[in-house]
Amino acid sequence: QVQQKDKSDEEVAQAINHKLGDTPGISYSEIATRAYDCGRAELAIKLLEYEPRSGEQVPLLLKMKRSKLALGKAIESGDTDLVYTVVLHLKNELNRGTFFMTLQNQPVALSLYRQFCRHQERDTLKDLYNQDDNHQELGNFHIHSSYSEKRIEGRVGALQNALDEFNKARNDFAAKRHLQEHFDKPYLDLSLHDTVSTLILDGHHKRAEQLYREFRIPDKRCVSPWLGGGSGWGGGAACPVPQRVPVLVPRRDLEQAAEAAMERRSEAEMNLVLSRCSPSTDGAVAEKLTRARAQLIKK
Amino acid sequence: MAAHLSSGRVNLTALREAGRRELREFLDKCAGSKAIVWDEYLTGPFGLIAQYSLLKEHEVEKMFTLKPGRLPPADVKNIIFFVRPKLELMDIITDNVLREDRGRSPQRDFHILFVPRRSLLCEQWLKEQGVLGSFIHREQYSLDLIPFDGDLLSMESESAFKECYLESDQTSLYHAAKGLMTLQALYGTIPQIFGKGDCARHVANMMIRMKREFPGSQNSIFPVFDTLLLLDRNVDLLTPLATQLTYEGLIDEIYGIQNTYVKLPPEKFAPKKQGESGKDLPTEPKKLQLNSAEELYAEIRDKNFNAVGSVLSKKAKIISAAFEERHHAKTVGEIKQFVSQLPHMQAARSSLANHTSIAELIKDITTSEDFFDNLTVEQEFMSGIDTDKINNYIEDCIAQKHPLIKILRLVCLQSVCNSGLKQKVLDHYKREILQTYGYEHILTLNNLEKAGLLKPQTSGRNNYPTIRKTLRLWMDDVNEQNPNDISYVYSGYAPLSVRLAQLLARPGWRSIEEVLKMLPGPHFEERQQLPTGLQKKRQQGENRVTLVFFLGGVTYAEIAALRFLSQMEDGGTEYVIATTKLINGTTWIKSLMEKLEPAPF
Repeated sequence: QVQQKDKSDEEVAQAINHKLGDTPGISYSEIATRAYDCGRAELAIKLLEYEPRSGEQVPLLLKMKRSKLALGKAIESGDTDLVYTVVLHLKNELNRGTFFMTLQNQPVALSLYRQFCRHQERDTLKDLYNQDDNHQELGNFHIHSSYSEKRIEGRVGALQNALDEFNKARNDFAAKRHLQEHFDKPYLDLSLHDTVSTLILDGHHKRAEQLYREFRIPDKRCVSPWLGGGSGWGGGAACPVPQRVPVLVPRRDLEQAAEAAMERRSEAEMNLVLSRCSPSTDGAVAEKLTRARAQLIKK
Repeated sequence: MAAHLSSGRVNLTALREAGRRELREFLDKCAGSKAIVWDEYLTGPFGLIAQYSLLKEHEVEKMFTLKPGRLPPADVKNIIFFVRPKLELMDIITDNVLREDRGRSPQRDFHILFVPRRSLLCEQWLKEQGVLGSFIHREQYSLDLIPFDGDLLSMESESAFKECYLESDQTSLYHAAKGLMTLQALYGTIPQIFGKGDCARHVANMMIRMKREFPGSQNSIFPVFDTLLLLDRNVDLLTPLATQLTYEGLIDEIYGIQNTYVKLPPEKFAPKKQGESGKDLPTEPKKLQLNSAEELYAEIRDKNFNAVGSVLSKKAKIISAAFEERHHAKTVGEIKQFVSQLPHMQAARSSLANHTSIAELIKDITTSEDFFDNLTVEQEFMSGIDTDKINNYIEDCIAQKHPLIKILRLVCLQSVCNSGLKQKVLDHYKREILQTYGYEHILTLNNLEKAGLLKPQTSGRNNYPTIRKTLRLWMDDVNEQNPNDISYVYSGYAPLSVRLAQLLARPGWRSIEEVLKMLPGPHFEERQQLPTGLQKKRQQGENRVTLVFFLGGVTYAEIAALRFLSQMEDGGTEYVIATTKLINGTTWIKSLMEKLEPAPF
């Protein structure tokens, strides 16, 4: 009956289905294959509609170059292995742009593809999130990457990227947190106490708070007496324990820290800031500080 | 050997037998001596289906763990890989195959057994690596639902919850549906399906679809199950977070039960021999199997821990008395009888000794101040007290750097009992946690939010009190010794999930429509056609059998609660439990943590 060329595809398909119904043992995919081999592609596809076994249906649809239909059917079946197969087939078949667009229309396929990339192609994952403008996830991605960076510049770079993404996602909480680094490199000699007090008195409350939070102060019940001087912390649970603790001063505040150190006439603080000055970019600041320090020593 | 599987209303031995048969067939296909290279993840669950002795019968001479590099030398004809269909594992297999010395003689044949399913994706991957042709037999072993006990089945899929609820990957649901099809092939079509949750809906849809794929295959079997209840884990996020208080629940919370085995500190289990000094204490942990085949365990496993002591002391008296009988045995006949009972009595005595030791170990923990304080806070939250404020005990624990998971369980519990925390409170907790335990945990916190466990309150209103009151989740008058309600498993809190099952049976979910709407996901009912003549006619007084399938994990306490319902006089329903994984609060939260270790400089 497949070879009857005079009737329309639709009619033939229906007639066959009418005759066979859902009788077990009849393979619609076999019939469809025959139809395809006879050159009646449309008929084949209509016959495949009746094939309940997606494991048969989908690969045949792929063979008949109906990839988008195959994708839809695979998703309907719930068989994620089948979906993966179609997705990767599409990846090879389509150009990147079209491929991503197709995935956009099928959220289930998109999620699965993301899963695949998470394990096998992390860079593509970034592109996917970019396409979605998903800044929250991009932020998470960069944090994850920072842990595989072997060099400190790489790690800081990744965290900076994370900060930018979180800012775009308006995730204030994470944005504040990103600056904290957990490396064991001892940086400088200045006590936490001094740096923070400087910053507070200059009104840099947020920055000071950040530095505090970084150092996992254990005793949450004490409130430092000299905190009362500044314009208030709110929340006030953390107690700064005066100690010689390594401190990382973010580059952006180098100038401000330098100003503060000079105002306070603290040699120790000036040293701190100086050591953070990179000769290539912070020449001016370094010079100012050196001069100020020299004056101090003279006195 | 299968005593524990045939003890329930449904004889699950048939399921295990089917599993064994399939395994034997495959092994025989790879004729000759063989070595199995195991995906480590599979060894535990496989142990519940077949022991090494069965494998030996089919010429398995060696077993190795799957790892990169060259395969160990072994004089066997066949190398069979038993693996899950994961790409990372395919890479390891490729490495093994490529490094195989083709010059060696005799040459070894390679085969793969995919568990639970073959994967086109994996095979394509192997093809691209150029090794697909190296395998002679590539088959699948559909190990979906593994029988753990007479009324308990588990897929032991560790990542199911994370995949379904965080990553929109519903692979494990597909396997769940396949597992249910296998079950129906053995035990008959289940005529009624109820469900609550998105995953539940998906599984039901797939079951109906799959039925169409293989029409006529379940015709002749008289249905054993009356009802299937599919429940999403996220319909009840509360229960796994609370500390379980049944005997088995506490063993799992403290020591962790893996595939029915538990490893315990050896000191209390050292056999006391005559004249043995204290120096020869064993250092290996004591490994015990826990299932219903052990009489005493079956009796105490589901009891509230506070009720276990009295059972143990009663048993001690009975066993002592039984041993005393030897003084009264006078005639040869009586002595003979006594001797024949001896093995059983010795087993009982050894069982009693083990569980007395375990109970002592647990008691050390449950009587500690820390346990008490923790439990108090849990119960406050569950009864609705102060769920909207920053909790002092939690803050103190963070300050003292208690284990992170303990903190996470508590803050999540508070969040769930408050329908989400106020932004201020949430930020405060997050800040404290990141400061104290490290910034790397921010990804974990994100996961917890995605899962709905630790999130901001969005609607501005707290639904939990309504849910709690309507479903009677908090019962002040709980009786731990002789319970009359399922709330005994948490000494006051009735697991939400089990309440839903209880109410479904009687009087039905119509009575709680409003509350059901407050819980996530749709609820639905489906009927599956039974061939005429197989309509189940229940005898007078015979109970219905309901299979409850937890999609995302189930705790031992919930299992105990369902068993309690099964035993109730006028209950009318007996329960069989299935799940994607047996969990407790700790393992569950762990599965949602992102492990990040900074690379060394």
